[in-house]
Amino acid sequence: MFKDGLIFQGDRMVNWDCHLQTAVADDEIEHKSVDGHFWHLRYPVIDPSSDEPTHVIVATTRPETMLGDTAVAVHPSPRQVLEERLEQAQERLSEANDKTREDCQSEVQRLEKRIIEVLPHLEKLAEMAKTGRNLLLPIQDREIPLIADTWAKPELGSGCVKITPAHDPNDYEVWQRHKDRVAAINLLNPDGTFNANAGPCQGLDRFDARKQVVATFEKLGLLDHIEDRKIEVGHSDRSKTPVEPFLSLQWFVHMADVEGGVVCGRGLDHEFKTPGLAQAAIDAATGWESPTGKGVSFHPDPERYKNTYVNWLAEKRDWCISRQLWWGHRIPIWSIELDSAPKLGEAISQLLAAHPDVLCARIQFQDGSSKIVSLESEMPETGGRLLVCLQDPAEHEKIAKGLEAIGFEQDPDVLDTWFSSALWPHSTLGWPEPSSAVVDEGQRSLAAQGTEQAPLDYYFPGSCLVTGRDIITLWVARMVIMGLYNLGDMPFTDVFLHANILDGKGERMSKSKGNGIDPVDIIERYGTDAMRYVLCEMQTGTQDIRLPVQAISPFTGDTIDLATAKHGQNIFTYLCPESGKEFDVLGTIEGVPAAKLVSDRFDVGRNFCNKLWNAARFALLNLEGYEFDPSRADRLQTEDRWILSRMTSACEDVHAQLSTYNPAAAIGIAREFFWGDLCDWYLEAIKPRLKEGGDDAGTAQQVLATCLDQVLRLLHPFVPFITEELWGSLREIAPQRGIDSPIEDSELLCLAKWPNPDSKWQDSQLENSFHLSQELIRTLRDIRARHNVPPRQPLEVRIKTSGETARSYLDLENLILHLGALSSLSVGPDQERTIDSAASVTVDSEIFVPGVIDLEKEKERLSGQMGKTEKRLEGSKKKLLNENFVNRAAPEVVERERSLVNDLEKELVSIQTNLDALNSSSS
Amino acid sequence: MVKELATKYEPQNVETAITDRWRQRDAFKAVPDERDDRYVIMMPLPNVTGALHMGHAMDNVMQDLLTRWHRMQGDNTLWMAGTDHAGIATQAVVEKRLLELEGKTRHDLGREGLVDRIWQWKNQYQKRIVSQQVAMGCSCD
Repeated sequence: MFKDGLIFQGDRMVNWDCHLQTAVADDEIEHKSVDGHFWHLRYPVIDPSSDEPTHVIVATTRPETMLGDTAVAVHPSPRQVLEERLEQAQERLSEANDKTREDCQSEVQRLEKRIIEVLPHLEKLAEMAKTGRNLLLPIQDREIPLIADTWAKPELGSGCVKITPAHDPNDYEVWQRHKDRVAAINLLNPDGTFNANAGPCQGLDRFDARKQVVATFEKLGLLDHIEDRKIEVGHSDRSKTPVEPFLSLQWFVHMADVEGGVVCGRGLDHEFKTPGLAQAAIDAATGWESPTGKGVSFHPDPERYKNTYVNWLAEKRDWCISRQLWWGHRIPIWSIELDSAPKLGEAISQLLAAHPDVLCARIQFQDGSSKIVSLESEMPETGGRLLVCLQDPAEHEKIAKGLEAIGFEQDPDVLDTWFSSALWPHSTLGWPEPSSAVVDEGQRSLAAQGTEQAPLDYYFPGSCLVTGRDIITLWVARMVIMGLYNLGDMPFTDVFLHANILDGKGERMSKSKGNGIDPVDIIERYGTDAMRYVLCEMQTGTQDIRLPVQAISPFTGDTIDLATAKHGQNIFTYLCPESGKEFDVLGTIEGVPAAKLVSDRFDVGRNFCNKLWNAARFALLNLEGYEFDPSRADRLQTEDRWILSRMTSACEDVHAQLSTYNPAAAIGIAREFFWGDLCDWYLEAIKPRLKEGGDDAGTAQQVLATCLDQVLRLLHPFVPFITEELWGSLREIAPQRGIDSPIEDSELLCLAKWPNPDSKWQDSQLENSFHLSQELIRTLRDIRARHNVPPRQPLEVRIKTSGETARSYLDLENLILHLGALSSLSVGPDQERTIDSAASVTVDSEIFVPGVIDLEKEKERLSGQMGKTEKRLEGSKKKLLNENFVNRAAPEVVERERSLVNDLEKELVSIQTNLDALNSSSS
Repeated sequence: MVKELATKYEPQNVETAITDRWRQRDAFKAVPDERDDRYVIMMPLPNVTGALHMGHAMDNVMQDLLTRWHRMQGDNTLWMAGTDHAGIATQAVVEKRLLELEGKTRHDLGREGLVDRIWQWKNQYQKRIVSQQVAMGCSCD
């Protein structure tokens, strides 16, 4: 990149962290709203004529920066701006509703007043600015120009704005436009104290300087007034201290388009040219394909996060890659002032003779321009700074020493951590030189071995990156850029952005906030699979996940909800409600016992695992004596064919949900198949066959073993431990599984083949019929519960229906008789309800169960119900006769009462009809 | 007679035994071979600024889920694990501890002294992070 001119050094406005003494990226700044002030300062006009103002007023939230002011700006055409604003305000007023009218009205009035009172003054100043008039900067007693620039806002404050190019990004832009009249003066030392440019404030901390500047203005009578205001202050995400915009010499990567383009993957088969680095990464997400046919897409919400990524890259802002730290990859650039080093050429030639091809050099001239030079042929003598970049870090030490011996100094900064991390997908595979890449003890070398390809050739480009959405710009975009530039290809094709986890109050979890749950504590308490199950189940999309946090009392072992517990001596300690004793959630307070943090959301996972274990154990007990026989494929019963069809659908659906990055839906389908279909229905259905024994029992066992085999495979990626253990037991009791041929076995489940059952097992018609029968059985269970009929007491059931539905019931008659514990089942269009029948109606059939209703009891129940209904009706009617109620209650309340009366009257009629029917049958 | 499963599920016993079984069989070894289908996930680098939290657990479990799923589909699967030295954040944490515990700043230690301290810190936390990842069932090589 250095050689391609994509890395350069420049004076740039950076966000300076005075505490850590380093630049921080825009994305690492947290904007906080704090109580602050606007200080309104007066700057005297030099030699004002009688019709000119004697002062201009500027407002600032950081008065100490005035020491570095190099201009005051006014708008070049204030009338035009104010009239435009007034027009816009009037337009808003004409469209305003009741809520916004007052605000719009006062804005119009404010602007009208401003045009009369302030505009003449601003027009005068604009005129003065154009003729090159100066102001006197107080304290510094420096003449600074009054300039005309559109950054000044005539509609706000005094309409004038102070310009501090070295300490404000907007003022920096103004400076760029007025370099002929305006300078930039840097006030800060890296540690946040003021330097010699700050005059009388030299040596003071930035906040003390503020006090002194304000006091001096007051003394000079130049402090116009102070206004209290909520202001946004950028804080460093790392040190939590306010950042200062600061002009400093930094290294950058050129992100914008470059004349002649940028070559990516230089020297590789799929080398290509792109207009610029940012553009290459944008293209990769918007339809362009790399020479190997790859692009990048975002999941599970492709559009939303593609936009985040593309919009950020589209700014094509240069990437500041230097950090003033000691820990990190030190920038491999050495430099020397040419004028200070005579005979440099000779020394460099000697160095090059020993180590050819490892150096790349560029001259940076005093005017800021630079050019690449060949050290062998065009060694410069004077006129700038010679920068030398080492290309091969492995050779680092020897050459570095050589350079330093002839007077070069290495840049003291280290690379931005995201620059190093951007190389991760290929550097971990051995790039740039697999044979010499460093590996940990015990690990294989990354060079090609025998006939094997080198990992870098084989495994790059990669497949998927899994991360949180907050580092799409910081990391994802940069890895794409570096992959494309260094290797001409994508580091991954899919980006899976999972949800963030918040605590019960919606705050991000963090150990230092005392709401962070350590996964190891959850694993100890609930088991790893339980934790994994719950995490998978929560991963439904991109929405953040809230996890209520509880502490385990170190005194009683009870869980304590932190949302309601009382605090102890500070916000990190709580009182155990049972014992009244104090505990600490950070684990750092001396003398106070620490509590582990957990979340009861993981109960669900523990329950899942226990149920899976128990159900699988029960199913395995039923496989005693099982032997595989492929000929049974021809002797499958209805329920066998049904469960195989369900199994096939479940396998397909789980696969489809994982393919679209929806783990919650995927595990839901696998769980439903295992419990809903296999345990609740199929195991029930085959009980009589297993009891009976013989070949039909063997068939049921074979189907059960096959389903267990497939469902363990389906569940394995979610809950690997428990499934691997159950797999071991299944293999022991049923070494061969399958229907018409054995399924490929594997000693370890984690290496077993993902299920891909034959679609011939799918039978949607049978699934529909079975579904009807399941509904029927559920209805019958409800009826038993409602009428207190014991579960196994045989029932007579009549179903009034015809056609397809009738056929479905009759096809599954045996199964229904068994699962519903029926004595008989009659189906047909002329089935009739008896007076003692319980009944239920579905879309196309009526289900009657005779003999379950006790007529005398039913009469009693209905009479009681009638009495109650009559009483309620009477009450409601009375209410409606009360004029007070009708006139005073809200209309909708009265209306509700009226419709209640109507409903109650209808109910009475229906109860009466039922009673009449009962009476006539018993008489 | 086949060995019966324990009546009650005890995750700790099962997890330790299974982890050993996988490790003994080198189940997650990733080596280039003749397979055309390959699946590669680069584990995002957890900062060595402290222990892992639930956010990392989500990250790791999702990656392990995808890795296991693809491994079972027969892909040559590589899940490249690692920890980050997270330049700025790591130095910030170590400097903060230095100040709190010893009342020193980085300038008291000098560049080499500070870098030594950070390596010590890094090695200590890297061990802890790797053991947490193993406990979560991460099937990386």
